[in-house]
Amino acid sequence: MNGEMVIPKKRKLDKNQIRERISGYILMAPAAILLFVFTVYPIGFLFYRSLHGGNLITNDPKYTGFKNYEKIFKSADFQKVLLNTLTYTLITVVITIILAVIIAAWLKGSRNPKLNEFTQTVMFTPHVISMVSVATLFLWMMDSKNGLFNTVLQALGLPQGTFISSPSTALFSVALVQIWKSLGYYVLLIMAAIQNIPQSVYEAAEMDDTPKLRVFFKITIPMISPTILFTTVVATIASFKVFDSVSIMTGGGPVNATNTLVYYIYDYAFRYGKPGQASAAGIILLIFVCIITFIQFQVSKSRVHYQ
Amino acid sequence: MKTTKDRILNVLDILGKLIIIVIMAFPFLWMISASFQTLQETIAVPPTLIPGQFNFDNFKEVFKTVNVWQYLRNSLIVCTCVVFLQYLIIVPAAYSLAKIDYKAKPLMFALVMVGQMIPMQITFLPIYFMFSKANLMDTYTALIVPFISNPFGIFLLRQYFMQVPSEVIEAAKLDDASDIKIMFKIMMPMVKSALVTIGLLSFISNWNGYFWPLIMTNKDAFRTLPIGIALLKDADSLQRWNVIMAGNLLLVLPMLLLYILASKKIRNAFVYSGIK
Repeated sequence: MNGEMVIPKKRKLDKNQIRERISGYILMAPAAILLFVFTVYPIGFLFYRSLHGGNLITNDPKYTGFKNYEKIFKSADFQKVLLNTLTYTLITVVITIILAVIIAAWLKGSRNPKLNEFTQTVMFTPHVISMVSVATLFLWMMDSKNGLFNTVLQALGLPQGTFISSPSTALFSVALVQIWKSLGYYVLLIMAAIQNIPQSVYEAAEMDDTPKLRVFFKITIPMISPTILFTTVVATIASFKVFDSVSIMTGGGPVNATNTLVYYIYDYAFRYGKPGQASAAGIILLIFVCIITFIQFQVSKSRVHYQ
Repeated sequence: MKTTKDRILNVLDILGKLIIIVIMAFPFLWMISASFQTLQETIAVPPTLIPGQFNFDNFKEVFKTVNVWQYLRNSLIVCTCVVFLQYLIIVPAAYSLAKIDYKAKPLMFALVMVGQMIPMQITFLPIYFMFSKANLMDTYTALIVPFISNPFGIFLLRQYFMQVPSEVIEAAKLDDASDIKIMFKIMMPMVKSALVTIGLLSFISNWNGYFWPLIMTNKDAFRTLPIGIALLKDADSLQRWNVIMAGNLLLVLPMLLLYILASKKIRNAFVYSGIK
């Protein structure tokens, strides 16, 4: 350690160093203030508000302790909302990631490279389009009377679907829209990871005449496992946040079948005028997001497969 | 033998990819077709794929039903302001995090990471309270300011700035260049591609955004296009899907054109934001 040598030097900053430090703070200040005002303070206030009663316009809401949490956890509605959110997330994430890995490996294959490029370009398109339009379009196509899906099913002599009109199929239908919209994005991310696998690994497999399916499971998947983990986390958090499609397609119905956490928070704050309970639900969402992020950190620390 | 098998596999490969393309592209073509159909055509069996005649009646109906020009103006104002104002905030922040040493830097960096982690779906309610107390509901401020400290932008720019050799800055300092000058005149031109990436991503997300303007606006004067187009569906009690689709095409078309013009660039931008 050469600490003894460094300390006396450090204590005396010359003028330039001081000036530089000050400019560091000044340049960071606008962003830091905005980030504080729009992220840190709101989280604190959300927690504070979740411990208070009152409505949207109450100036001095009464302290109620953890009563709001008690209320929402005891209500069947909120239990349903939690279950919906987790089911929705599970459906969306599992289907999206499995399809994305398969399609990405397929499009990275050697056959028809020009078609691969085109397929990928087309697949990504829905990701840059507003969920408003995507959801409206699917709302119409899924319409049980005049919708395109049922018209086609009927023409083919198949049984018609109920889609968003029945509580048993509505959540899956909304998930389907999310999967369709974001699949191309995850394919893109996973293709970028496959791109980074050193070609030599594949060449070795080719020399041994390893079957393609074996290459996929024994080389491709382990090599891209950090990306699979990362995309799973991104997709999970995106699913927790679902709001636009629910708001446009179902409004949480029928009979709460598609009511998810963010929609519930919105509804409780603005329609039922109970910001205390809405804030408590917001804290639950915050905990979910923190848990997922924490898992990501832990897992990516313990097993990274890159070289 | 091998060639026959190979040929069959090749046909299956092409077929599979074409199916994916149809699944992904058809809804858009259906939307475009419906925008030109008559009401009868939209409910006809079998479905009308190509409209009988092409005219802009449905679009005229959209403009009659909702205030499209106002929404479009608001969307353009919000998108442009966010894209350009953010540079004033994030460039200095990224420069400070990449090139200057000071005590609170780890804390500042943590703040950026937290900002990136916490979605607005968690913070919207407190921000709603804050804005309504400050009488900032139904203002451009409410739609713009929360987005200009773009934490992803700070993070990405910082990565780029760190790659700029310190000698460049030292040399400029010897010439008595100020930090402002170093940042905007020397550093910014060196990270043009990152700046374009950030600008594209925030333009796309603000153009498409529904959640934030839904919460922050109640008056037509400040509603953005996605809100207006979503209102069109509710405003049209007859559920004329041809008119609703025409309205949605107005929202979709600019992004579709942008994507056709710069598809590679846009995809790369999303890969950056995805992988970091």
